[in-house]
Amino acid sequence: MLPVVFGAGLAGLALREPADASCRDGRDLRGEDERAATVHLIGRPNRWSRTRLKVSSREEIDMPSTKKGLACFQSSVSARLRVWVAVATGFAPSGSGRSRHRRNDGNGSRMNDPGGTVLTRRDLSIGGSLRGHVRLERLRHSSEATAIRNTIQLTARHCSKIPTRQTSRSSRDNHTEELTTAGVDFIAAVGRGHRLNEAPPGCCGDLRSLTGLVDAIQARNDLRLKIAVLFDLTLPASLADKKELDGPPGGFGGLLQSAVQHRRLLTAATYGGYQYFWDYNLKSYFDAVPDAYHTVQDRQSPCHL
Amino acid sequence: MPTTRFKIDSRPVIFEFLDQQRFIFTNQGNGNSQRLLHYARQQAFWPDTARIRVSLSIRAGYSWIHR
Repeated sequence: MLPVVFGAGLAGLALREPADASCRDGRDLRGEDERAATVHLIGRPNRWSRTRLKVSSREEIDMPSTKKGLACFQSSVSARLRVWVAVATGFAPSGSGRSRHRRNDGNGSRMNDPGGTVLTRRDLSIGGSLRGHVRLERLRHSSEATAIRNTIQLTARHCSKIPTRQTSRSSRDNHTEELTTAGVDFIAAVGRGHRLNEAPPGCCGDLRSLTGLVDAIQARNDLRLKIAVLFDLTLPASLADKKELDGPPGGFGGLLQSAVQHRRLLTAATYGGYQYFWDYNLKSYFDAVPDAYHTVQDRQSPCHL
Repeated sequence: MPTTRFKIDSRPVIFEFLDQQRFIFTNQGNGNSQRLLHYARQQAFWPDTARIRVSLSIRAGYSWIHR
């Protein structure tokens, strides 16, 4: 996940940089690019109850047998390639009956979480915060590129669905509370888009379903947690998943159309490549996740130019 | 309304990860990658609705630019 800004290759757009620094967001990372921000891929794990995730060369952590388990990884936003993997154990949902599922306290021993709405050892002042339970280990691989690939594949395999589709409000609130308490900077929601004319919320990574998470964040009144988008091009690939469902068969090959193909397919309005990148996917993110200046009527606001 | 978008340099961030599985994402050459990203940035920068336009910060995987 090298932070290569493709804007450098798109000079024809003549984009302007923000003119007014005062209207930058408080959590803006400008000037802090060397700081490792916590990236958190969210998703509904499918097989965590029997999955052992190897997070370092010398330790494996059992994932809790609950769908609230979270796997997050910490990734640097700097130009230097650094990947950290964290496995944050989950919580037993209230009334679920799983009141004694295991958590790893980071010291190799196990602890029991009684569950409930008040989560144990989450007070930052007593040194038992959730972050304390997050095991950070630098991946020890021969190459860092391998580390990145393994990390993303891990999260893609187990976090392929956004849990905000869940209708349970308390579930979303618990999720948000966990993230904010852990000090997660932002969530990289896996966006796989939605199919043409698919009613929201769609299946499997529809970014329109992020409205539920946004509501939970705002209801918690803790706005440090931000949301970004991750296009995961492992299987099922963000750019090909819904496109292949809508289009004619032929597999994932030849995903990116040539210019001639693109014009023809865009006019057909049924099967193309670019729509599934923006119209049915990224646009949903901007519609669902609000911005600070949405209420500003002036579209020439310098904050986001 | 406070923002919940993650931004770097006031620009919303889109992460692109691409694995070595080439059959998933092919034909990036001849400027096709640029056209795809150009289309997204155009749509974000010149939206056809009342949404405020944004300048995307697309951060792509290492292997994308090495094709």
